[in-house]
Amino acid sequence: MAEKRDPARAGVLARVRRAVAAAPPGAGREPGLGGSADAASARGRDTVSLFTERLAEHGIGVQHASGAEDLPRVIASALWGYGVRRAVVPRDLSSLWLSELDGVWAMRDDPPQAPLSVRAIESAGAAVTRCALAVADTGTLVLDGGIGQGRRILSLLPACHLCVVEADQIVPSMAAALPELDPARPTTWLTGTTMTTAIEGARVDGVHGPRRIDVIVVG
Amino acid sequence: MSGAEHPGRARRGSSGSGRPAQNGPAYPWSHLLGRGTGERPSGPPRFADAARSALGDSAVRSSRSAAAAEQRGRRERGRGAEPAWEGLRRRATAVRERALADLERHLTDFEKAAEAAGTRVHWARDAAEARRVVARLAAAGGEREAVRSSSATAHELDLDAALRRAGVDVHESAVADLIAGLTGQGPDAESRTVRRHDRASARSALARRLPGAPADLAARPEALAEAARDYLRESLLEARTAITGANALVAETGSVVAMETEGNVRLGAAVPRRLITVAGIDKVVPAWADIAVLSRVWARSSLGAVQAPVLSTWSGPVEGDGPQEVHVVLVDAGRTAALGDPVGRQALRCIRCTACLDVCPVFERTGAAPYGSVHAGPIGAALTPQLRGTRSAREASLPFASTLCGACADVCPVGVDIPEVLLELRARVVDERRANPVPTPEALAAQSGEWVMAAERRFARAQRAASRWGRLLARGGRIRRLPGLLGRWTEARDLPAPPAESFRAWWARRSRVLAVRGGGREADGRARRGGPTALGGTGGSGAGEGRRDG
Repeated sequence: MAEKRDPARAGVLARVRRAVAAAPPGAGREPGLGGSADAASARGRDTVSLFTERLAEHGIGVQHASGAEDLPRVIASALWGYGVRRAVVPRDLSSLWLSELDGVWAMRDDPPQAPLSVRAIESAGAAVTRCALAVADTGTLVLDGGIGQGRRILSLLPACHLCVVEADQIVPSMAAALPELDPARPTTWLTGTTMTTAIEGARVDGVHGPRRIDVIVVG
Repeated sequence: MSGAEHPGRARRGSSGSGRPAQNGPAYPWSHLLGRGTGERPSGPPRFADAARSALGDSAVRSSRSAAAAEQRGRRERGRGAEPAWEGLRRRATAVRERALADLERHLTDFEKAAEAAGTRVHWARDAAEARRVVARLAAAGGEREAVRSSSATAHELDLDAALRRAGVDVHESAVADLIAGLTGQGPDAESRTVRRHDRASARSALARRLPGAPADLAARPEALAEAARDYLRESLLEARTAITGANALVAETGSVVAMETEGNVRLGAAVPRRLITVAGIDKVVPAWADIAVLSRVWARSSLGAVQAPVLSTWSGPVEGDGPQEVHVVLVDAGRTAALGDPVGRQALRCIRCTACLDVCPVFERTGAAPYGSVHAGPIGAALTPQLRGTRSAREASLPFASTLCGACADVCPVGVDIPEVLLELRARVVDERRANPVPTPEALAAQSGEWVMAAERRFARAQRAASRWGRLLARGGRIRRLPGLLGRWTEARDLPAPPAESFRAWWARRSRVLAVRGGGREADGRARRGGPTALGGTGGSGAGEGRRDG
């Protein structure tokens, strides 16, 4: 490939080689390895209760659904709570989940065949998705565009994001989450809502991305 | 204290021409010494000169120190909440060290994996090449606009100017950067490192200059951030090209990792058709699993939080989701020069958390601007001279912009011993200046000192002279000002007056006295000494004598 004969590439790599040879790695002090910190903090605790505790610390609302049959009712009541009339959902989100919606129009986004426009997604009040994984130790939701999650802007543009987490999707730490994920997919790790401190250092929540994130834990 | 003395000093300046603004007294020979104002080669000013105006503004200083204290508190609480911070730190250090130890393989691995995922990888040897590559990519297909998230690397390379020359308008996508741009602050301005705009100036900038901002905009942070957000979101949704930096590049998987608080990178990586990531070659980490430890220490050190609000990774285009054209530009621009230095290379471990800035007593007082680079504070002083070389006066002065107190090394999450790097760079700067036809004042002083101390008689004579002149200059036991060039040293400190008699003089006198007394010098001499010499406070026991002589 032409890229491989790129003089800039060859130049940079040659310099790297010379530099590493001039200052071999052993020259610096090789730091010892510490214990696994994040696993230690999560060990011996019920991951679900740790996860919900951390979410609350980040200002994320948590509701529990006892099982799949309870879920449609919890989703519907959360959306009513937002007071929205339209919600966007990914193409492959289970219809059963949306079976109790009454007065809320669920718009399906089905790219590349039938995508919603960016404006349509933005003007919807809420998005309902699943997640790929959740991390208990940090209270993080992980999205990777897999089943029931849709493309990246779907959960990014609406003002509210309602995320369904199944209890067995919760892993203790980020170190445990990474091997479960496919790095070829785009991943998004959400820990609380976005914020800025640009003006006088005062924290203002919800810059880009939803101002409000709620989680429903199933099971 | 000694600041009050300056006017008097200027009046008595040996040239008699007074004290030129900001640059210290102009001596007739000052051009020879590379000091003073007149004959200085044009170029960026030295750190100390650039810092003078920042030091003079007390309002800015107090707001900066308040901001620094707040940041310090947040980060300290963050680290405190970490059950095993030291272990985490050691693991993060090991990740960065492993990455640099085999950088060539990690870079080629990254290239291979990223290209397999559909990303186009580009290389740039220096800043000019990086600017050309990015401008070409951004302008391809006749594009006229791009949005860019905050990126230290983008500022370091001065990408915006190059993009504008190529006909591409760059829009900032972070709130602080938008306001900085509207108030006309440059990329080195304070706000980029301290991220602080006061509400009045933010309001006037947004209300007057932001298209579509309401005229009755309230001066509350919430309302101001919302106005900025609405504008930024529009520009991000309209954009067809996004430019981002990267917190890390994963060699194993070809992934770009970006951490942020505002969500503008997430939006920029999900909406526009073309995505260009500009990253230094030092950003690579070996394995996908390394993100866990790296993101944790970054979030703790940068925000105090357990994780950044948003962490995004991508390795290439995804059908039906986000950009369809994904580029990564790998930039050297001096990094290999640092890599080749056994001591200096540790600065390349830096993950740009900025924790060292807020604990630095120098940075807290001077702010970012005197560092003359987007990499400010202790790590800037350690990194910039390595990236740019120490030929110019400004870069050569940076390693000296430190008290070497070590607070930066204590907080660094990847174990960069910044004082060690600074000392090494100081030595390098001094060595480079040795070859100059005209020696620096420090070199002159050191060489004279060497000559004087090489012979006992010269040293004794110099000591007597110093004692005499020193006592003449002293008032109330302190020397407030030294004459001439030496005065620069006493600008910031007092000297104690030298004692009337040096140890050598006393010793010589004592020997003479003993010789005159002669005879029983063993027992009697010891008993009678003590009083007049003022040295043996306890009457000169044998053990005390032994210590003194040894």
